[in-house]
Amino acid sequence: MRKYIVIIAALAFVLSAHAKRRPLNEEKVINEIWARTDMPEFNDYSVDEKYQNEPIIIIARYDEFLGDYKVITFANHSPKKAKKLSRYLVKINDNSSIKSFSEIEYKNYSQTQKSVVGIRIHKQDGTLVELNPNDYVKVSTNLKEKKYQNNISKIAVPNLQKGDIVDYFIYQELEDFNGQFEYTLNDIAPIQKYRFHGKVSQPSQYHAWYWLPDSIYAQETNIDDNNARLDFQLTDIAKWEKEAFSAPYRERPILKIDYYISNYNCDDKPFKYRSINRMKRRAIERQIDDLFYGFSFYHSKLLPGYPYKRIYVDIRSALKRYFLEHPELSEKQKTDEIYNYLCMTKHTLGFSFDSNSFWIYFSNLTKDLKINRKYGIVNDRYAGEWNTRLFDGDFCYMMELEDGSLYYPNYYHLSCAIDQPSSYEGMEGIFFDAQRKGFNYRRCKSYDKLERHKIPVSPAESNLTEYTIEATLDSIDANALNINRVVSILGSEKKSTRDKLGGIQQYDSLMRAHFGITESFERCAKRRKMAQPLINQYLAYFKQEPHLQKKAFEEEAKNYFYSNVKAITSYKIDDYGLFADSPRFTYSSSTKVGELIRNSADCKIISVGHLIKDADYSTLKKKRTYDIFQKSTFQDVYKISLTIPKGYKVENLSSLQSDISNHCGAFKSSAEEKEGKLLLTVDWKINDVEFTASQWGEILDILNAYRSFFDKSVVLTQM
Amino acid sequence: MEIRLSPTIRAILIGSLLLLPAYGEAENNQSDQYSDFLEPEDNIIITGKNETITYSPNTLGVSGISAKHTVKTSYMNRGYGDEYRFQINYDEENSKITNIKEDRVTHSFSSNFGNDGIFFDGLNSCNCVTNLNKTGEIAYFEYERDYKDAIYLAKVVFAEPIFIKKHTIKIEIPSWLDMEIKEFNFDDKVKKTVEQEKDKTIYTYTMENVKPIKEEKFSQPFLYAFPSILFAYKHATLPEKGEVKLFATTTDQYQWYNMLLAQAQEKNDNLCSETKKIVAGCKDDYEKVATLYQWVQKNIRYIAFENGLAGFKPQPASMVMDNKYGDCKGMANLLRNMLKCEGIDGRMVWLGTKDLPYDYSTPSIAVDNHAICAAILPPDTIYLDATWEYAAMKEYPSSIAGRPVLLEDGYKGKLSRIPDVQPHDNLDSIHVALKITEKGLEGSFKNILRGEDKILFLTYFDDDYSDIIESLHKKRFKGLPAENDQVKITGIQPSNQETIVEYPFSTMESFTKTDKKYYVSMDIKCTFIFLDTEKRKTDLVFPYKAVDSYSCELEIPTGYKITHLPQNLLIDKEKYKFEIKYNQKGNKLYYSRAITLKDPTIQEKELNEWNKDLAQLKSAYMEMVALGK
Repeated sequence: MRKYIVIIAALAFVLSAHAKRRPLNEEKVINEIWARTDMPEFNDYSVDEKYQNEPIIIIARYDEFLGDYKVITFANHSPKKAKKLSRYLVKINDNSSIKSFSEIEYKNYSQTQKSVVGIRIHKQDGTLVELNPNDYVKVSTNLKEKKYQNNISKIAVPNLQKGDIVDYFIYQELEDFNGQFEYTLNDIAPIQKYRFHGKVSQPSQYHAWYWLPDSIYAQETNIDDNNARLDFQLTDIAKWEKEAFSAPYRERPILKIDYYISNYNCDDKPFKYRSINRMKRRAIERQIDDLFYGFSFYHSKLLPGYPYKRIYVDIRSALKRYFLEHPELSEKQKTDEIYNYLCMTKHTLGFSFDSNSFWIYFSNLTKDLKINRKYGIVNDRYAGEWNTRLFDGDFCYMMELEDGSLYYPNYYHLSCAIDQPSSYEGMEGIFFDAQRKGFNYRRCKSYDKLERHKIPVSPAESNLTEYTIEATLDSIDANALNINRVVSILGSEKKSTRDKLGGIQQYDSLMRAHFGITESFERCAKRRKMAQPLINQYLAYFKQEPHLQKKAFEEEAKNYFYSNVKAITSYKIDDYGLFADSPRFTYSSSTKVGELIRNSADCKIISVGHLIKDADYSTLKKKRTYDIFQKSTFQDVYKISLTIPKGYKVENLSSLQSDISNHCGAFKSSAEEKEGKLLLTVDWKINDVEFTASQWGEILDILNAYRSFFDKSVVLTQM
Repeated sequence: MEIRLSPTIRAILIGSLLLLPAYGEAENNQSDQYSDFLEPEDNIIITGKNETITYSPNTLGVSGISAKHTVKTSYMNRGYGDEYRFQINYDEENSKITNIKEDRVTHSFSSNFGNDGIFFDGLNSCNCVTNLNKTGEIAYFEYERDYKDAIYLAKVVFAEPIFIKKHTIKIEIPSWLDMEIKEFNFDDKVKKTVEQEKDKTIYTYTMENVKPIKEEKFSQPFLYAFPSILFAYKHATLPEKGEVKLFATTTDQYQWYNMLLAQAQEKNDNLCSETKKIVAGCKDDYEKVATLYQWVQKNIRYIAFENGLAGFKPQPASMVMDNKYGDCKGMANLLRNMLKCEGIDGRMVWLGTKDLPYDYSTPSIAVDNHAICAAILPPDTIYLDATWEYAAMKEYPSSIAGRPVLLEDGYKGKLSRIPDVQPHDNLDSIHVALKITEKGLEGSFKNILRGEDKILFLTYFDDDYSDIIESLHKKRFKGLPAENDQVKITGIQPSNQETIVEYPFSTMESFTKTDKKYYVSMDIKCTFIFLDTEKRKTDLVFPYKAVDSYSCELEIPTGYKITHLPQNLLIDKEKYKFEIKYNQKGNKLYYSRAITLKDPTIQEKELNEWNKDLAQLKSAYMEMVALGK
């Protein structure tokens, strides 16, 4: 009997597998879709008067998402099917736009059974040209992209002409699919009419979220016993244009469907949606629930130190003893110690944590050693914020210390402990009291206990870069200046600058931090019982270091002086800035820079403005549509000293003075002649990470002042 | 730097280390024996590369001879953990990669879809990556490439992007095969031995310490600098086919091309009716040629099928017409047939672009990599390369200008040459009108582009308008800001001989004032200002002969006069000319500067003189005009 059961089971499995692989009949699908009568907007080719001069107009766009859940076999009991249709009616109004529509691009999902593309072109003379699918030149983009689950396919559309209207659709069927579907509701061209139709069966088996503009929020979702539906339409969606200092995710309305089976669902009405700006606690609850439930799982007593329990216990004991021996350590120092120790473990014990297990180790240790207050999570600025798109992109773990400061143990760089990331500032984080209740998170019920507050934005002064520059005229090259620069960086720019100047990027600054690049490295490493092959590897690396570091410094100098660096004569890193008591990363270099001195009879005209960093703001438009975002606040201070050659005097000191200050920031410059030197001070800063579009004028004033100073020269005349 | 770990923690570390598996191999003390030849960044090197080429009779290919190319390569890591990626390209129709053996190398296969990522260009690739994490670690990769037809194995090169300690190429020529081996760029470094065995001759070439191919701006194509071997297959005496004539002469090569071309010909009724529509209204043959050329440029998308038979057999004209895409041969064949439809003598032309150092003195398919069309309008032969979308008729891009060609001409074909370009054919000319205002310098900017400068500009322009604006600002005319809507561009059609870019601007960059004086730099572009060739050790090769001219007129403000006028400059050498002139007329000061590249190649031995002249030019740029009351 058992034998027969096995055979039947195997047969059922084979049949189910076979059923899944059944290919779509391409021709049938195309004919069916062209024959559909429920898309009347695709029969109207008129273009609104206001769009007549647009190079491309999307006359109509329709998106359809049909999700289905059904049991096929007992061996494969929860497959889901999603049918996606996207159809466009596009008018090509300009020759320059032909190329961009000569290729139709679409995304392949990992479990795509088949994608079918239909294309037909309404020519200006009224004829309809339908492309035969057999003639399509269809390819995936390249090998690199094939590595990823979602790769891109393209189809060539031949013989497009100005005035043509392209009607095309992409239809896809996906099976056994857990994942996210995203519809960006604006485009590089205006959309006259947009319509969405979504229907998903078996609502208790999936989650779905929608991030939509307010206008759509007003439209209700229709839910019946078996299906959830979302239908909405929009008209006149403005085209999207890229702007500087922007966060595209925030500028573009996106409909997002997160479609997967969850066994932990605690919402009886899953087909809810919320708008971008009206997103309420309830709408984000499920995702947070998943994350915190995960934490509580990892922090349960059953699994301390998962996945390396033995090593965890050893590390915890060692650290505990060490902290007992050193009661003078502050909470921050202890946290640094744990963080650094875990980084060391990665390199010396040879096992590498993934981001999750690193966090688990860290949070378990800080909890067990009773030095943390709260755990938290926050989104990256460019991924959106809590109220918009949860964890769409990068997100960051946080821990609050006794002094209220936040610790971000997310990177495997030793330096992270004191180089806190800045792109989370201004974002709203969610916190959980770690000490009092532990991670006793109760599924679907503990959400109310989570605390939410904004991560404070650091003042510009805390992200300070100071340039101390001494310039002298070169004795041989009449157009060159010899420039000694000392750069000292605190805050947001520190880590990236140090990584750039540190040489090879495959290795982070960890080894340098612990051992230094000194002759004592080998001795030091042996004392720490680092394995000999690893020592050899690092020695080889360090051997490359001087050469690579020189290249890195040359590159940095060329970027700073926009390529007219004639020679770099000395360079060094003065302080890596790795520890709390010496937090500044400081480096210095001596450079000969050409083409900075121009001559006119007996005068020397020196481009002193070019001694500040080149920042090309000349192409910024005056008009601004979207809000302004930047990575972090900052302040750059330049203290420049130019030795005036004997027998010369400065003619135009007053032209170097400027003072622009407003709510967004400031640009100030001052100049004086003192003891045979021209002393210049430049101080510019931006005070916040987010500004409204209406503040663009104030920011432009600052940027223009910067640009204006950059172009300034000083005239030295003979006395 | 102090490490803040307690002794206890260290003890744990030691304890934990004992639990770990042993780290890789012991250090290889041999790893640094190459440091005399190498830069520190040459981290992964090839310690040995052995190539063996053998031939055998084969009934599958056209020639009746197959070739087996076996390549065995050892890689070594000299320093830090790193990877080296390399690609072996092949066309599935004529060759395949087999018998791969690898150690610390992983490979995968892919198809190549060209630059636009949409069309399969006939190439397949075996993509390999070494996995070398520790100093002294060795990786090994071996493969065989089987050529169904030996003629597609046309050359081998002593060069890799990384250093090769020892490179050996062994060619075993059976007695039944008559072939010529032609050596290029050989010097004392390549050792050659010839051994005669019973039924074959074995040529062995060995080169040690082969420098890596390193890209440097304005450099020769690497085939001009590295040794290569070209194979010319002449005759074979095969067991089944008997005497087989291969490429004994260029005529043989031409006849093979011609045979492939003949296979691509078919009835052209539809094509001719389409052609008629296109040339409707043209007054004469010249206008018809121009119209058809433009039509193909504009309407046929260029894609490349470069290897194997597909690299030489044109697609039928009607197929290219229907598809609206084709490779160079397909586009040339289409144009040729369209011309024939109109009774114009259209011919196929085969050639090697300037990347190839070879010419038709060696009958081998390695000398060709391109095909175009020629319209014979006596006494003119007009070469038409429709793959260049923005080249006007008789405007020859540097890749084909002056190149030897094999012209379709009856039974034997004809060797000819595409006219070379003169410097003034490639013109980048700027005129700036300046006046001094409260804002600094204000004025208008006008840039006239011809020839290759025009073609490149329009190619960018076609891709993305915003890119061109950015390019205008950042790469070409820094400091002349303009909003998009202020920029006027005319002459954007392929047939336009010149493109003109105009916009108003204001700048402080080239202007300084004191209480009494104004100082103005008349040259805002300063061509070559950032070109640094002081330390260069290789030939300086500009892409093409060209004239870069700049002129500026400055309105002298009322009440002011010129108090200092910089000197003129004239450096006129065989290969280049730098000229700067100042001239005052009335209340205007005129400045003109022209850089003429008469010969785009400045050889290494000429660099010293070039550097001195360049320094003078740069110094002249740094002179400012002074205006005082």
